[in-house]
Amino acid sequence: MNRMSRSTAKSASSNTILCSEGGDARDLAPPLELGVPVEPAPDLAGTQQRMFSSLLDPLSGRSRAYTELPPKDGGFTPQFRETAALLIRNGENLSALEGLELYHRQYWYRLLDSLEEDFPGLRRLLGERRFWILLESYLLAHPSRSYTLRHLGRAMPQHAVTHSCVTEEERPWVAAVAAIEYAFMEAAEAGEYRRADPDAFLQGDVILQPHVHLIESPVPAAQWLADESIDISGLSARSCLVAVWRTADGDCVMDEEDLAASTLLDSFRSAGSLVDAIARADLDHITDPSVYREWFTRWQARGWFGIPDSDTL
Amino acid sequence: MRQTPITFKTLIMTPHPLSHTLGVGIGLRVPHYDHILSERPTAGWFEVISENYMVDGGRPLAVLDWILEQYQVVQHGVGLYPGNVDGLDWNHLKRLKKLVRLTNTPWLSDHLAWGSVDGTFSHDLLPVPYTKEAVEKVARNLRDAQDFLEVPLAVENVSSYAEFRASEMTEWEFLAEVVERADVGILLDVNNIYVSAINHGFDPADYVDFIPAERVMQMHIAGHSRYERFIVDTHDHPVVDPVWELYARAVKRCGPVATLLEWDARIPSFDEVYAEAKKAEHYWNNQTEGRRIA
Repeated sequence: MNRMSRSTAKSASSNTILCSEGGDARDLAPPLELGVPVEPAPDLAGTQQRMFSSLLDPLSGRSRAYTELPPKDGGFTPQFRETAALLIRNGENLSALEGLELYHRQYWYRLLDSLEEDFPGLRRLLGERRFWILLESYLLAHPSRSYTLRHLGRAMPQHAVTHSCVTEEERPWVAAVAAIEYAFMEAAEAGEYRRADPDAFLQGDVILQPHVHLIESPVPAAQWLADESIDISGLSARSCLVAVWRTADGDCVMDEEDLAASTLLDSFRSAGSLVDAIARADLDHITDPSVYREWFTRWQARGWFGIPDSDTL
Repeated sequence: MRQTPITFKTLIMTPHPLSHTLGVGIGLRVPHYDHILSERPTAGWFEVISENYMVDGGRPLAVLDWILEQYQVVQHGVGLYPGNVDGLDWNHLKRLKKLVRLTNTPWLSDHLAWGSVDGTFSHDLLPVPYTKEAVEKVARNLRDAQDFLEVPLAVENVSSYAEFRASEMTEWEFLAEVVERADVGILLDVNNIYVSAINHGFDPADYVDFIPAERVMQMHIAGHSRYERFIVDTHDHPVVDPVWELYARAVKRCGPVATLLEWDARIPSFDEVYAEAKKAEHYWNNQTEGRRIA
């Protein structure tokens, strides 16, 4: 069993973050003169649309140079400059362009930091250069659609697996690693039903806990994630079922599960009795009762089953 | 039948005792979880970031449950975005209300800011232009939120790095107009006033002297990072002397209201953070008679 609790500590705060790595002072470019805008300032809706659109622009100039993103020619786009001039006053200490630049870098640094924290395995798999290329392309394609940064990486498995910087050999690894790493976040904040005792399985109404996530993969991604000394070229492809769940003490962990148990575990996504679940799972080919005994003993010890409609949190 | 909403005016008529008796608190932060759970340290109260606990389960909620049994908790949010021209996110408010019922927070605060457009989020607290149009929209959002949440709402002034060309009034005039129209309280962030004053070149004393003191329910103090020409609100240092001086001025006007030290990055030990927060009490010595309204 592999303990990984990195995603459980992510939290929002009300400060602003200007350093993606922290520590060093990062001043802005010198004040730049802007032409006097001829257009009147827009209304509230226009202001917010225009400013938000600028925040989503790719990082450039010094703001970009302070990140791990690959260098890119050019500074601010004409549209970025126009937005600054249209919306913001030149002040005594901050020019209009500097003001917009501060919010622009805050947006990117905060979101890049969040993804960096969420996908350390993906980073190790791809290496620094390709990892940051992937993060930038991800944020451009999938800006945050949730009130919380915890959900920022939701589309990463689908995005990463099709990205041009990923080789054909790496694709199944990238898909599995990203899915497992995002599952850690989901497991950390999922609900939990009151744990089912053995009698509940006979009486019916047992359900797989919402924090138990099952990921099928054609490669042993959990094995690779658990041992940083292994290169993917040293591992043979084999189909795996990876479980990610939350323990009683709140840590999120993963382990490989018996692939043959996949349909049975899936059948417990709907509440039912043990007999119902086995019937739904179509496991006629497994006739040895000791197999089931071993599975359920392990799953019960891990607290994977609950009584539905008995939300304990 | 729906109950009569608890509004700020209700609060004024029957003052919430906690606003003036709660004392000094600090933010509940993950690096301090183990210390708090094992040592049960003395602390006036904890402020929790609402969005960190708007989840279905897991360790944060388990810790919060334990904290609620031992300490007074006040909720502080970063995702209400009353400045959003799109209006309020009612799904967010429903989740927030569920947490309000769990924590029994005496009031709830969030920022005078906007942060999302068409369902895409900046995860930042962006300033609004100080216009009459914005006053109406922000006040309506705050009023609707307070009405729905059924708990007194306090809105916090944010630090800012940009002043909009469209602005028709000062920030303090805007804040005063919004809270009056919305009938909500103020969470006065003294550090944010100082940060914005340096960045935009106004006198922070003008701000403190103007705001409606009777609406100040809580104050924030924090550290920041000073660069050559501007200040960034980083919450990663002790409070600097000019901010303490501004805090003293605010206490003189508003009384010793509940005060919270924010420390969100490079977080030192619990004891160090709490000791820094307790310095606020030094400025209360001559304010024991309670709230003073200028």
